[in-house]
Amino acid sequence: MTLDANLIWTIVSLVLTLFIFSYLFGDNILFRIACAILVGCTAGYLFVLIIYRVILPKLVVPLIEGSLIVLVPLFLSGLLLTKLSPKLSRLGNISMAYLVGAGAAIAVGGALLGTLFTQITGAVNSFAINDGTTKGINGVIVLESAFFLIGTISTLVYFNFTARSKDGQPAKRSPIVNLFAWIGQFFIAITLGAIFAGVLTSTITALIERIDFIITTISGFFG
Amino acid sequence: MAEINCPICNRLNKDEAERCWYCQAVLHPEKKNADGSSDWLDGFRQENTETPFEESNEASAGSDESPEDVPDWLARIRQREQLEHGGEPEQNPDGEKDTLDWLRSAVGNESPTESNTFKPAEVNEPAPTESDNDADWLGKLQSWQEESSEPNKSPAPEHPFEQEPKPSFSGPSNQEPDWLNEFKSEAAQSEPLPPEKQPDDSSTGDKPSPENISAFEQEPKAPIAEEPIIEDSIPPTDAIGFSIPEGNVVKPSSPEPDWLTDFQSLDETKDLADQVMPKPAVEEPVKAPFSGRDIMDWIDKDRSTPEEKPENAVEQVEVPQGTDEGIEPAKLPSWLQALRPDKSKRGIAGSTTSSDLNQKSPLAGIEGVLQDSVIGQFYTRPQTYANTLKITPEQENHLQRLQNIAGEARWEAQESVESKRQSSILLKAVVSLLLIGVIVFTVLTQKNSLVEPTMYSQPVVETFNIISALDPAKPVLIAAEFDSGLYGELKWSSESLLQQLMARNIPIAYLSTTQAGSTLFQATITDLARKNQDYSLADHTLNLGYLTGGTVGLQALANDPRGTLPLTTLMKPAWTDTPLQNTEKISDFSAVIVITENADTARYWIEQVKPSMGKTPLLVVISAQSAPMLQPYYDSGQVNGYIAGESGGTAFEKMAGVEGSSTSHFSAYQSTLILLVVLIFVGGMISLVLSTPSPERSDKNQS
Repeated sequence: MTLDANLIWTIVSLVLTLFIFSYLFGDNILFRIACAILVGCTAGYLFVLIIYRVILPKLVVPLIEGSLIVLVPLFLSGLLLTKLSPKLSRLGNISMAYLVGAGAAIAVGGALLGTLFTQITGAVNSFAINDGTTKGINGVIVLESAFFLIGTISTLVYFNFTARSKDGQPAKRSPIVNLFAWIGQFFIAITLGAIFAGVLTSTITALIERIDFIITTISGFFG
Repeated sequence: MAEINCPICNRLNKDEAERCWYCQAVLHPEKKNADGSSDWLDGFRQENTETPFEESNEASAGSDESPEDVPDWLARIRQREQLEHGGEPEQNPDGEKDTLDWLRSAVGNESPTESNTFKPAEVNEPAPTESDNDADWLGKLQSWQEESSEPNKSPAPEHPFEQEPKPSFSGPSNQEPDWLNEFKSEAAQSEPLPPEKQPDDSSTGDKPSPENISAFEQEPKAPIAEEPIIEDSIPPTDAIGFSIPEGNVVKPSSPEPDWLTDFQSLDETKDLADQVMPKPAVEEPVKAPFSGRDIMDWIDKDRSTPEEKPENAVEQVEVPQGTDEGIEPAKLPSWLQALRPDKSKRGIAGSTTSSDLNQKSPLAGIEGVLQDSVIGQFYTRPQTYANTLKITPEQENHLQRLQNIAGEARWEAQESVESKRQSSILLKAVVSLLLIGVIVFTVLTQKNSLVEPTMYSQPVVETFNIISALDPAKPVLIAAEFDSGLYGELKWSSESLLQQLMARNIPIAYLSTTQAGSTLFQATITDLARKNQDYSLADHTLNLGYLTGGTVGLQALANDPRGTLPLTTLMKPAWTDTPLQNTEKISDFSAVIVITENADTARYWIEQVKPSMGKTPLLVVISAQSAPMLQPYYDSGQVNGYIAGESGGTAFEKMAGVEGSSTSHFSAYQSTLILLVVLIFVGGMISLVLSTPSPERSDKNQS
């Protein structure tokens, strides 16, 4: 076995994996060492990444090439540094306002156009019971669409907590709302169960991958 | 003995008592109203009797009182007449109450200092009241006296008050008793009567002084001809300090009104005030022995000299300073002496506080409720307690037992927590060993899958079809949006897809919005390239690196890919002399493949980039935990296909006809899932049994 970089990193990966597995016996120093190494490496890697992937290609290089437009983000970035000083922190509000405003506008616009409207359109299109390929009405599509519709409505109704209050009586939802909310509980439970199953399978897959890595590495050491 | 309840404090009092013993409230208000009098005059009279000026009148005041059915002043006149004619005057049991209410208002408007304090004037000093206003009536009075008096009688001195000290009355004296002047002048013109006796010039009460007359200034003027009005308008002279000189007494001529005939019987040689309004005795036996009014009266006297020291005030009350210094202080009854506070305490408990409390406190209107002496009896200094706790030996034994019980409970709690922690560690170790054992066993034995997947999900099929139909001339953009946590799952899930791309020599450009995504993907694609020697990484792959800005960066990438990512990780131009040289916009890619374990990241790509992609398909390789959230986007057509988790990767490999990592580890995956299902079921049953209370246990708990 030659001692190359891949072997070294493989050994380091094996050791750190075993450190993480030591959490099985509770919180211990090995687990904390592995976590500290992960955090430190991530921070260092992020710093280098910002230098090489953000500052140099998007600020230094354009300045060298003579582009003055980058002075605007440079100025705004400088204002952000004033947040470190309590006296000058108000100057950084300009940059923060720009960032928050632009981010919120993009996020809201994307959510409306990319999720809300398209999902409504998708729900409506699910009732396209005749796609032109078959004659008559496809009963399966009808049932499936109705099931989706009931699931969607009942789930939304379940999260409707508003109700009218009468004189001298506590606020109560109408029987129809209560019925749909009761149905919505089943859809929510099924959804959460599916998510939990996905999480479980994901973690099982990650565990299998790590154990396979350990077995492969150890078997590689011993030929 | 009959008792009645106080209408204010609802305590029992004697029936004959006029005021409540506790709160000094009036017990018989109806009786008082029927009498037409009020006992507030008790204090007022007593105040006047204690003033120096009234003390002179008090000496000559009689004790006769009139009945209730006639006006007070008229009744007294009649009584006086009967007394002079040898008849016995009738005793008025309610003599103290035969006073008018208007007098209270007149006196009450004045401050205690103004109304009750009479300062002795200096000798040869004119009276402080305006003598100019009184000059006319004095002139009339003097002329009337000259006409009515006999020549041998010496006239009254013109300024009798200049020769002896006069009390000063600080009250307003702007008005004159016109009715009295008219009455006097009219009587003098009708029939002047010779005085039977020379007036006593030495007596201050014999001559009317402006101060005395000024006491009428606040009373309402009423016509004298009408008897009822006169009844309301003429105050008792002893109460206001008015006296008429003896020489000015007139006798009425006949025919005259009945009430005026009473004046004809007046003795000119005697004090007119004493004859008209004889002053009752100082100590009335009818007066309630413990009247709070009396207590408040002497307190008010004490208030009248606020500048003086408390000791002096007490002395002044006991021995009033007047012109007649020969009067010795009266000997108070024993019960009154018992009620009066000590001299040493009077300086502490000021009477002002008591008065203010009666006027401002919720007890306003109920006079005499809060008294200084009573308050001093009820309130004492707060008791101070020691810092140390004194306990008895028995209490100490109980405390020791309690400490033992608490210590045992704490020890049991600690033992319970420790046992639970140990059992939890043991349970985790057992479950982990079971999982690890099953995984190691299946990996080492390379057992085949328990159940081979034969039906593939539609998204995986769509993904396979799209990958198979990609144009090899166009590059594929791969977004490696994952961290190292679920890198193993995503690597296995995307391995067959990447191998499919490499097999078709499709150029790959990859980037990441996470810090380690592009690096991890580079390691993955490097490992896969070793298996596919025909695929050159340098010629067909391009690492665009880290995309900053999150959603903003994605929006920028969708609008201007070249401007957003101009350089590669090697700081070389990304869009010239590379597989991307013919790519101008995002829709020029043959496909965009997002590899992520986070559903939100996939949603960001769908929301920000998908609208700019046109007909370019968007494929997603996602973790199994986020697949349910991605399904709606697939149903709506925003995602053209996706591979979810280990099962999705295995399905794709099966369709592609290759045996990758997913297939080789699918048996371990299935075995572990079965084991987990069994563990969850067994654990749930055990938890259900343990949490269900048994009948015996419930009986013990109830007992």
